[in-house]
Amino acid sequence: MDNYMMWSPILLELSIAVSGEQELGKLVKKAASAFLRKLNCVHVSVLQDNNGCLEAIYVVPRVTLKNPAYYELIGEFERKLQQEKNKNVIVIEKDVQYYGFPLRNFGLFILGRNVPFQDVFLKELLPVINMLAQNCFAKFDADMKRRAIEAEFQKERHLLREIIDTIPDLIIYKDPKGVYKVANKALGKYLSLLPEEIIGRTDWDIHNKTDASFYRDASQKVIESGSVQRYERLIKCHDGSPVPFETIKVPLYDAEGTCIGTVAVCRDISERVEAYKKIQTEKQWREVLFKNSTNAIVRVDCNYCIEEINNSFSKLFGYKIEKVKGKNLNSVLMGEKCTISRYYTQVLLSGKEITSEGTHYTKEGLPVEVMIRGFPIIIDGELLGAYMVYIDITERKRQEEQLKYLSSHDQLTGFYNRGFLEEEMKRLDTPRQLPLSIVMGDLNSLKLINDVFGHQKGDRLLIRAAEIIRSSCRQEDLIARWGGDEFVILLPQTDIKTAEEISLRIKEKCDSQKDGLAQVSIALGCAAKNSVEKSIWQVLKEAEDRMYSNKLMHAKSYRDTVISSLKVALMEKSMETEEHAERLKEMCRKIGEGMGLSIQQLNTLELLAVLHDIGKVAIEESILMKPGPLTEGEWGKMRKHSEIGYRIAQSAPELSHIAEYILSHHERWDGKGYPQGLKGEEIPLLSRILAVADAFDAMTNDRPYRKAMSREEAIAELKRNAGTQFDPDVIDAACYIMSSARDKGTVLLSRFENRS
Amino acid sequence: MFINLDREGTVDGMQHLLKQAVDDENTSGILILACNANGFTPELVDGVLKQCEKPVFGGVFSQILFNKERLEKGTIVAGIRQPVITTVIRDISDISDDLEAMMEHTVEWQFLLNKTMFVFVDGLSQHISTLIESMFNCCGLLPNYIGGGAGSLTERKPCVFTGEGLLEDAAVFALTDTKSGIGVAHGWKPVAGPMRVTEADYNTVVSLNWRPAFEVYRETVERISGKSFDKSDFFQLAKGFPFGIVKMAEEMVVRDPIALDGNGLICVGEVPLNSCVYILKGEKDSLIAGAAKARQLAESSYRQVVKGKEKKLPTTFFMDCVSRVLFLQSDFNEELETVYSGNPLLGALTIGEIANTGKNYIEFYNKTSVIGLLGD
Repeated sequence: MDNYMMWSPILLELSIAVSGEQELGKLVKKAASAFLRKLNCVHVSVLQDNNGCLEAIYVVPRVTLKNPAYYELIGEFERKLQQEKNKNVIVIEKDVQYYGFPLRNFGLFILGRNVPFQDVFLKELLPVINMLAQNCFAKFDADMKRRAIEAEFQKERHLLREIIDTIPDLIIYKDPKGVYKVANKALGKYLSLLPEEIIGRTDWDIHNKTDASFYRDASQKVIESGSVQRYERLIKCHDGSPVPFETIKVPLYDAEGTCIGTVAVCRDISERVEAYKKIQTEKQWREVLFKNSTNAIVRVDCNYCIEEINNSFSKLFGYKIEKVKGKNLNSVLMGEKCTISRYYTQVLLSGKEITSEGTHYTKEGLPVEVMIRGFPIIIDGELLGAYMVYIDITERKRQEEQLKYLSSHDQLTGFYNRGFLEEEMKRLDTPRQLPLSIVMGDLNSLKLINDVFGHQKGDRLLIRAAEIIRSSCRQEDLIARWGGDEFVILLPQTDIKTAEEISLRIKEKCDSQKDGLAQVSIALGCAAKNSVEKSIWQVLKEAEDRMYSNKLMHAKSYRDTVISSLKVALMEKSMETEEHAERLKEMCRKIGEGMGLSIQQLNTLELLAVLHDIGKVAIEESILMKPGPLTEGEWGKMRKHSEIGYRIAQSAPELSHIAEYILSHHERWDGKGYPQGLKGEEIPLLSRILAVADAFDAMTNDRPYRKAMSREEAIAELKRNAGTQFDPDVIDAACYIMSSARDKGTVLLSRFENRS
Repeated sequence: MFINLDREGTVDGMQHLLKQAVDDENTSGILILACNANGFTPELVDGVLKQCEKPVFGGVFSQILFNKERLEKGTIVAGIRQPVITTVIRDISDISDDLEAMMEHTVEWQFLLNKTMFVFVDGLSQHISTLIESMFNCCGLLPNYIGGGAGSLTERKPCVFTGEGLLEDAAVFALTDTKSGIGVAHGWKPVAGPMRVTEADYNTVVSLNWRPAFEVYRETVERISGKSFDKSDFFQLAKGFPFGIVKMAEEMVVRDPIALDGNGLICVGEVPLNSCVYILKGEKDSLIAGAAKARQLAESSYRQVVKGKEKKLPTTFFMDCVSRVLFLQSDFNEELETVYSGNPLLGALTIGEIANTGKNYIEFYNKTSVIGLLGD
């Protein structure tokens, strides 16, 4: 050894080399290097024991590993280790001296040296080797743990990487200088760039100048403000198509709180944008539908306050949105007081649909009948508000009321109808309503009036009768039109006496109405239910029977009155005089007598003479009184009078026997007359006689359209028409009478002449 | 080995000598030692080097040694008879751990035994120690190593001859079958110490014995020399008092403190943390004696290698530190004469020397004489 060689610093250096905080690999390398240098070794090996086999973990010089002899050496050490387990050092001599130091719990440390170690130095060296053994084991242990942690870390890192690569959004981390540091695979989908291709580049390498400077500014803003930035922007993809992205950019900080860049998460919102457009379109569609719906629609919030109204709503209720927005719908349309609307509001706001009808009020306070449908708007279980739809049903309501009215009332008279009254009778047939009286009335001659003057006249008669009845009854009395010309008056809690008083009042009022042809005459009958046992239908029947009885009793006088009225009316209308009737009556009687008719036939003939033209009461006055010749149409109407007369006569039992004669009084002997075109003796005799008498009287008297003929002329005319228009026998008889009358100078005939 | 000298130091001269070597069928590889004053540049010589059909290695130095002469201009071309394999490492300053694996792939176990590895490296590159260490970790002490740092102290330029051209920041390794004996000695004597390097940053010693390095160094140097750092340039005084890093059983590794960094001392070459250092002092006689000792060690080593079988006298390959010339100045010729034994001598003044001392650890030295006796 040199003079200044000192063991202690060398051992110290070796000790330092085998200690310290470092990884196993570094420790081994450092130790090997130190031993090699400091101890002038030609060879150093650190071997690890693996189940009795030594595996070299570091060898200097490395090329030694290529020397087959080295492995023989290791084998030799393995054997010796087995044999000399407790030895501190195993020495093998080859071309150089090999010292094997067992590293407890770890392996073996081999030093190769040209010059052998002095024993004293070797002894000093052992503690250092032990230290190395301990450290190697500790480091190995730590290394294993570190590797496990690293493996775990790698796994986590891999997992994290997999996760961020699985995310379809672009995830990008850039450092404060804008250099891409992390990117996920989604980048490839949009920009055709692999994450590794973008790392280390900046926006200026990837995007155009405008985009790049936008991204730089956004990042700068995030870094400076420390707040999250959110923006939407079109990014040009690799195929040139612009794709809308929503980007959320956040600043990233290290453990010390220093900003180390930005993380951007970019989401492809194409679908969202499309959906938004679709929603907008649908919203517009809905808007148009909403605004222009013929139904009034209002949208309210969850507090029932108005948010939106449509045009129909404004039109129906007269409100403008500016005036009502935010106001409670109930207070706008009906005031707060309406309990029922509050109830419906509660139902609606509890999430149920409602349908109701009600009266709401316009801005001007006018009532509007509406059908209301309410639809709660529930999204994700949360009630956001409701739509209220109002359909104006004012007209419908009115019609319904009308229908309801019509279903229970007689349209003409305004009285209840039979159906309603029957129901009422059932309803009122209770002990509480006793005594219950019924008055039944039958309007006389309605059929006659209808037949003769038409139904309009008949209806007027009915209306007048109804007015009389109504004015004669009390407010609480139920009056119904029972049949065509029948009325029933139901009088709850009314005795028979009062019922009779009412009947009397009606009768008196009818009598006081002297109105020509259409005089109201009602046959009345009363009955009363005084006990529970008695059927109300029986009471009705009694009233009916009494009414018929009364009707029979007074029918004739009434008919007379009617017929008289008719006659008067005919006279007035056709300017026919009573004298004409008398003349005709006289002449017919004479002819009849001349022809040997019986007294009854003669009476009939007289009656026929008076009433044969009764049908003319139904012919328009303008035709009857027309000064000039009638047109074909007017003649058609005029000819109807014989049929009308027939119906009038038919309507009265006292006249029915002359009905046939009235019908035939314009028939001709030759069959060219009307209305049936009877011929010869098919025509009743009395009609044939009347025809002659009437013709003679007509010819010998003035008419509006011509002057009267002389008697002779008339007789000649009659004769001329015998066998064609007239019955020759009747003409003979008539002519005879006319002649004899002239000869005998009867007062009657001369009176006739005088008048003509 | 045949050795030719072009005293003109021209490209043509070198090309001529190279041609001779190539043409010589006994030559396997070519060693070139050239002077910086030749003005060789890659542009001038790369063509020549690349066209050379045999492995080329060597360097450009401030001066070259030829027998007893120290030349400032000229080119020595030496033909190596034994097989030569060269490996070039570029960009040493960017060196990484991969170097060990790289070298492991290039060499085989059996190639290395009893062989000689010439190593020439750009002397101004960083990480030379790492390079040497990597080389050793890979190849161990199987071959003998000899070489040094090429280049000039005055300017940085390409200075390593390789088959790929004249390179900067590169190293060339030439493994030959030539048997050799190596001797390393410097003659610097410890005057103070030992001291622990308690803090160091690569080539800067920050603290010694837990005190600021310059403070400790100043106290010692000023006391021994009787001179003050305040009154003279740092290096002028410090060049006489280098550090000696203690190596077990071998010559101490000398490290020159060349500048101050606050209270830290910047040295040429790495000073490892926790190493023991002495402050050395050099005198003309001890230094020359050092060179003589190197010669002796080399001869002794060579004898062991050849074991008396080699009859032919070995060629002396002398890598001497350029700083020794600066220190000895005209007395350097005396050192050269001491080393020269009458057999052919070739060598150069290097920036740092590379060798393994005998059969021991390889090192990057300063201020040291490295002598290799080559049986080629």
